[in-house]
Amino acid sequence: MSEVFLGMDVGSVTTKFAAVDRRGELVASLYRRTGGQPIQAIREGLAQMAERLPAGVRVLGMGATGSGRQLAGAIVGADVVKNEITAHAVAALHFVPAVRTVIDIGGQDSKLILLRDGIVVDFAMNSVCAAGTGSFLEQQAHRLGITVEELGQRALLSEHPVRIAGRCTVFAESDMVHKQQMGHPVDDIIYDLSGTGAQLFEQPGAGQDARAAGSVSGRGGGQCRGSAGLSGSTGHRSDRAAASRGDGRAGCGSAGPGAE
Amino acid sequence: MSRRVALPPLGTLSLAAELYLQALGVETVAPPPASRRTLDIGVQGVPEMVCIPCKLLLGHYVEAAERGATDIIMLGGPGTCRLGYSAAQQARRLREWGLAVRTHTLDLCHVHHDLFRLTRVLADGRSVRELIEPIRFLMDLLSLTDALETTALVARARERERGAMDRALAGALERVAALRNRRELGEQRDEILWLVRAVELDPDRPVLRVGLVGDAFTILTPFLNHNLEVRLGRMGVEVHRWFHYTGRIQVPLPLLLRRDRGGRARRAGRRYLRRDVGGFARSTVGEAALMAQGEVDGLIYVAPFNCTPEMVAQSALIALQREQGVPVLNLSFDEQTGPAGGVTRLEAFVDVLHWRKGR
Repeated sequence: MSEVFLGMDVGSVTTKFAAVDRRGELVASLYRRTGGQPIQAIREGLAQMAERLPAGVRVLGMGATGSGRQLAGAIVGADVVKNEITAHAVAALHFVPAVRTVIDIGGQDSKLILLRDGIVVDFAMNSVCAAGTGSFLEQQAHRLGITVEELGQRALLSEHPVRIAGRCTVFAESDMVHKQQMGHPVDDIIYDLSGTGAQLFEQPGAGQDARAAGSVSGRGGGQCRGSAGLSGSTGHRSDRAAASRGDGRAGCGSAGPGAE
Repeated sequence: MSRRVALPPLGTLSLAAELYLQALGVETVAPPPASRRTLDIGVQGVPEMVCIPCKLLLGHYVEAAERGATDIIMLGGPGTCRLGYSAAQQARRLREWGLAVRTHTLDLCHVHHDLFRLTRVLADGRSVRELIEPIRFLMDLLSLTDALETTALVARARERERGAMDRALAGALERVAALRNRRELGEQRDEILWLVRAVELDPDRPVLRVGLVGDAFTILTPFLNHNLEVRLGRMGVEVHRWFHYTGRIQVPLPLLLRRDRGGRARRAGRRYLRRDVGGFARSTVGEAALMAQGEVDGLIYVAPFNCTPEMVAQSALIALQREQGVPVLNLSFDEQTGPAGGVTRLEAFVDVLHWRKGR
């Protein structure tokens, strides 16, 4: 009879499940939309997970994270309820012991986590604005008639990046519309849409040590990609794309504008 | 018509001030505690971009008038931020709304002088000699409530039974509310203090020490900060609040001026913020600098969203963080009622502090 530990990440946009065995190997996972109804998402998700796991499986322990962790923990009686920042850091350390930076573009907030020598020394979240969040990226992708999963690939096709004000979603959107009406190709606009998210991680207000954030993300591309792939709410492929694009831009930003 | 004086609810200050006014023979009216309604009233009379304390205070003044107050004590005074004229604006708004109340501004920048001036206005007809005893009563009250709160803020982290400290504190403050003069206070002081000191604690629990700095109004209003202090206490964090009434109101002896905590904080903070930028920015940066010298494991900086002085102070703290290596969490509060984002930050911050301490 197989035994697993079950983890749940109930986010604002998506809900994720993962079952690992005693050795920490992934047995089954599930990625689905929260759809504004976390209880239903958890219930249905658990039923789907049951189908993916071998019959008669024993769940040894459960953990919950994400913005809906308290609710999820209460529903399933989780053994561990942890905030997503700590969960990210521990997961990233598991896969990349030397990790120094984790970037998470979540549905309702973006996070930058700085680690040194295997411990979290600092973190930053976007404070009071939707700028740089997955929801904003998704909304803009929708407006441009593409899916959020395509954003990364389309951005890579850009030849003449434009400049978009990214600190505020209202400014960003009006800037995007303006550039669109001026006749700039969609790919160029998407390129900078991704870039604005990366710039936020370089702002002194967002990262508490701007230089460290910029240089770390410039060097640690693989680590950032790896950890962003671990979670995120807007669809893991797009997160990976957004993080890698963002990361490229962050490195580019510290080298000088338009260096890429 | 006799006066019925109201003061906005502001932690234990309102309690002490009410007892003080009653000792002077002034009738008082207690406005209801901050609620959704208070805020809803406030936002109608204050421009949208203005900070939340300003909105909440206006709501309190209106609710005080509704309860029959004839005189309202407003917090304000000539500061260098919006606080400088917010009281004047609020008084004007109350008149526009047809509320017939007299308004008095307590100058927070010069509390000692202004408290005396205001006392003479409110307790008119009394000689200066008659004021001495009530003023001493007020000082003793503040010293007692400060001691109660400080104990609760630190010891809550170790309480064996969750909520025991909150109940003990509420019981102690109820006893304080029944005090009528300095003699009663002197007789019961130890007994009241013992109520919170007797709460059963777990001396072996690993706890963290966090300094709470920033805008005093936001720190002292649980409605605004989503019960931050209690939340921290229950996460096993000793809270060291920078702001104590006794320190703000009592006049330090000139000779001790440079040696008291305020003086030391001023000197410690000078390195990071040289001038007064309004609000509590300067004192709070000084206190943060002092706490960072080994008194706490981390600092939480609390400010209302869009508060200019506190934004300046926040950037001053970046240098402090870099030099002293003390983690700082910035929390800003506005009209939002959902504590979710803030709780995630708090939990992660506490994890970071544990991690660093475990090193």
